Amino acid sequence: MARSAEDIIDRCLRGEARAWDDFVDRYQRLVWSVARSYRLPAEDCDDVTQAVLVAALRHLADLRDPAKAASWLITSAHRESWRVARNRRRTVDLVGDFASVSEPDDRRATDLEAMHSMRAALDELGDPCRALLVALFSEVDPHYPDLAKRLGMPVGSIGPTRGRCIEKLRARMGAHLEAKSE
Amino acid sequence: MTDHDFETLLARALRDETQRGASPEAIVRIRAAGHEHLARIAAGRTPAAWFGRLVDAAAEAVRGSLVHEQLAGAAVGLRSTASVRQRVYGSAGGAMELDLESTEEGDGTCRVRGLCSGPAGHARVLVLEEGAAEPRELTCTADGRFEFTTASGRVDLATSMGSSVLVVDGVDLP
Repeated sequence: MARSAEDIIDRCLRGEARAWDDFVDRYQRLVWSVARSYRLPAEDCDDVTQAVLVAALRHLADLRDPAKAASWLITSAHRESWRVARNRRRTVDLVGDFASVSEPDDRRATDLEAMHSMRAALDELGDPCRALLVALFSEVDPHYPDLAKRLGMPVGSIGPTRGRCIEKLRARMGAHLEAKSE
Repeated sequence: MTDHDFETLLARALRDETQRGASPEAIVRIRAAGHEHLARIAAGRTPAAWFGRLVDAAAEAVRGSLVHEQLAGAAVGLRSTASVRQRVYGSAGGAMELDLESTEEGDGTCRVRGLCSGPAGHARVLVLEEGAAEPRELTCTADGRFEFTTASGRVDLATSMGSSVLVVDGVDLP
């Protein structure tokens, strides 16, 4: 099972290199998604992700609260994305073919954080639930026999297992939302 | 949240284009930068503390982050065989920028030319070379230009301009 954000950050503060990898795995998608919301190209989103996560290293002690960590990263990602977008606009406007850069609104930012919480909860769930839910929800209309074969489980058990896994995921997600509201 | 809303959110979290995440190459770079930072702390070298002591600035308040100017994918730890151009921005507020051009001199040293730009005020630049106990302050022109030569493969740089401070840990030189 994946570790909690607090545990990951504690281990980072103790200097564990592996914990930093876990931190990157947990938060890179969140930061990247904010940058992408500015309609930045993928390579610029990568740069924003690097700048923000490396900057976070200096603030780890303040980020032990998972809700604070996500908020801090989102805010920093907004600032960095805006700066990159502004510079890009300044450069590319010269050739006049730049689609306008737009800042995502608050609702979109909340939505990105919700998706991050969902993915974090999913990672904490661990396998086999994680693998099953990813397989079921990554595709629009998954083919159960293929999926059962891939996951090594009987077709008939997919439905009941799915239900149990969704309940576990809901509980995890609830814990994330509760932590955020505190 | 209804069951339907919950499952819709789950599906979007897995399928939304914004959730693609950083490229594998970027993740390797980010991990390496973090490992390096943690190793430096483990070795008892707190980043930027030296600069804060010298100029009485809250060096931790503004951090530097290397962002590419001409070389795609340039980042913390960027290295080139001959010449490197980098631009460093203050990540808090973005009030200051630092342009660097590093050129290998062929005798084992590297010449670094830099330009500080940002708010009004005289620029100060300090450089800490690898293995050095203390940084040295560079002469800086009124328009923020400076230059130095070093045999070190890596330097830390700290600049101040007006009330802005930009600290860059670990600039790899060619």
